[in-house]
Amino acid sequence: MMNSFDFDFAAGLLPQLISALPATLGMTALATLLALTLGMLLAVVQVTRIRGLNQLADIYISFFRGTPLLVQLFLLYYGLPQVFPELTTVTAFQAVILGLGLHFAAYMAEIIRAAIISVDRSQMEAALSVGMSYGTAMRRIVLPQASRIALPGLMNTFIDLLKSTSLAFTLGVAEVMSRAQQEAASSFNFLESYLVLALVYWALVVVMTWVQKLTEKRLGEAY
Amino acid sequence: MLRRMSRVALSVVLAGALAACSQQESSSATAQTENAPAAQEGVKVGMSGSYYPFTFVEQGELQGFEVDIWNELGKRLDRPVEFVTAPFSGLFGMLESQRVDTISNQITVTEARLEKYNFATPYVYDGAQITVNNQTMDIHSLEDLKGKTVAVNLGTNFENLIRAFDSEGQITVKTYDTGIEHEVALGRVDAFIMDRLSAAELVKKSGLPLKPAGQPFEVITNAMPFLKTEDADALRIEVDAALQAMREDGTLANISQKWFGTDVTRN
Amino acid sequence: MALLTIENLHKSFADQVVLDGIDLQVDEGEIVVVLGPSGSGKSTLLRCINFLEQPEQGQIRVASASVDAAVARNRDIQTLRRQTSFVFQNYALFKNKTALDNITEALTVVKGMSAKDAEEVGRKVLSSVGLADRADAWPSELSGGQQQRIGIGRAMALDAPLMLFDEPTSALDPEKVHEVLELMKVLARQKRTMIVVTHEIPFAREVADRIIFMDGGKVIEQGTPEEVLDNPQDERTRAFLRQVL
Repeated sequence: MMNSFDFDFAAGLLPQLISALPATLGMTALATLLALTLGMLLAVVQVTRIRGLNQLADIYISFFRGTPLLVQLFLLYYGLPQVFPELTTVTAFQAVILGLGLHFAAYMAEIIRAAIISVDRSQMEAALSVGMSYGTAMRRIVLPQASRIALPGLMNTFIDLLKSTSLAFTLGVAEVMSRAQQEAASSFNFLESYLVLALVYWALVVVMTWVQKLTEKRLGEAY
Repeated sequence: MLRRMSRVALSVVLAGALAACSQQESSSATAQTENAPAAQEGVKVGMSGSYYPFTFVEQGELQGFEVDIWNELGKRLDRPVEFVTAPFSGLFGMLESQRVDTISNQITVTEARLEKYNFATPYVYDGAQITVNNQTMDIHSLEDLKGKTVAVNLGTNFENLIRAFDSEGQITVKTYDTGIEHEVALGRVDAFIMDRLSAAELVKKSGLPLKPAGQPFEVITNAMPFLKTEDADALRIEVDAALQAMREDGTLANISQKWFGTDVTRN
Repeated sequence: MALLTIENLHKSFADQVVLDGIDLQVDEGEIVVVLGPSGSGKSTLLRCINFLEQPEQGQIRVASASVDAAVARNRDIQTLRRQTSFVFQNYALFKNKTALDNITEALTVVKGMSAKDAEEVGRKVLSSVGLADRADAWPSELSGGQQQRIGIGRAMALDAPLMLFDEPTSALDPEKVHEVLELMKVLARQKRTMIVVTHEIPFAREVADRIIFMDGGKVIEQGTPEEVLDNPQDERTRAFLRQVL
């Protein structure tokens, strides 16, 4: 009953998907930036136990880890504009970046927090003893060491984030997933479409993993 | 640094809270005044882009019956048309959140939808069609579906049709965003229900071992929904007039002939 | 003239009192060695002087900086810390910095020196601790003795009025102790003001102007090396010396 694999279709689909890659990569890059910044802020708030903010950070992390990403995206894109009409000016592309950023910040915060805690206390003490402020000591001495420890965990989260951009198709963003899905729907070449799509994602992750290896090597120089 | 950081974080939180408050305040005001989805500007039309032959993408190009209609409407309204594609189940959410001005995706006019939306004049009349695997011999009507599993597209009216008929819950309904024809061909579900026109095209184009089962049931009237706001209604009246004109000068029929080989735009 | 003045310093961990009302004065150029059994509070005293531990009560003055523990503000603590430098038992070199950068880091970041000036100072300090050729080595590539010499170099470069040494040789292999003590003797001859917590009695006898014996969070007795080491007055001092000598 199944027809044989349509190589011509698969070969023709690849450039289609590649032309949609900028959307996927753009969302990944911007969401990663947001998630890292916010995650770092949350982690530092938790490590330093800033009163009040610490509890807020706990609730934040609990909520964004405790609810499905898809639900958060729908809430953000379809739900909130019913209460705040101004939010309708937020495009699907922006909503996905915001949603992914907020979601993965919670995971990154936990990874960064654990990494900061694992840096020996004497590193902070030594930095304070030479006259640095707490913040300078964090920025110049503790965080660089924590980043090396956090890297593998963060990389896992980056990869997860990259793949999660595929959910953007549910909001109508023209990224690789939606392109593949639409071509599949009109051609009925489901196997070809989703296989090529899978290979595209895989290739991206292979490249990211290679970058990770290089970064690990560079950060590991001192050890 | 610690203090500075907490100050920054605090101001972020405060700013967020303030923004939320001010948005709440201004929401009532803007709803009446400048909440125009398209005051003499472009029209944003939502569609799935995966509903052959009404709206679909081939070689990266969005095309189909709905697309042709709107390209013509855009000319007549003298407005640029922007097509926004999203999975069907998300289209009404986009209409509600005013990210699109209307939906052009064979939306069936129903009681429930009439309560929430104003519809432009109907442009397609159709029927609901059961489609089954070639090898299926025992399904010819809704009645025969009892004890079976039926696939429908998520968010469509066909699910409601089945529920209304099947008051005792003997039919299992599964919902999909795409690919229901494949599910029937693979034998994962016993039948799917969609409008007669799409079903016929789907069977023809896919080459899958599918066939219609029995006659279409229920007359389906398809039209484009608009929000019940002043601006949206103004747009709806414009679209209405243009559609009427297209019907009268035969443009609507021509587009239908192109895609279906018959005129589906008349009752 | 007193460079360091401590008045009525109190510190406890949970409900255990570690410093029980310490009063202490150290003059400029004076070298003070603190002796005492483990748990006597001598390391805590040192760490309280630059607020690595926060005392509950007491007054600390170093040069122009003055902090009342009960109302200590971050800014005052930082000013106080900049009057001191600290040498750690476990070296605590910045693991993400090379030997040279460990020394220059605070010069540029804290003292606002230009990178060029800082490097000049750094290289001078490196050669005075005998490690000019290891400028670009990572801490992980250095032996314990070398790391501690860099640690002392880092403290020297700050040129702070008061140097604090917290058991600087306790973590070293016996054969490396010598190289660190020799370096400290050089500093002593330069008449740097130093407080050294150590178990090295011969070193104390040789360089200390004054020896302080602590036990139970209190100063039990103090005096010249001859007075404390050869003629201890208190039974607790005698018991301690019997064990270590």
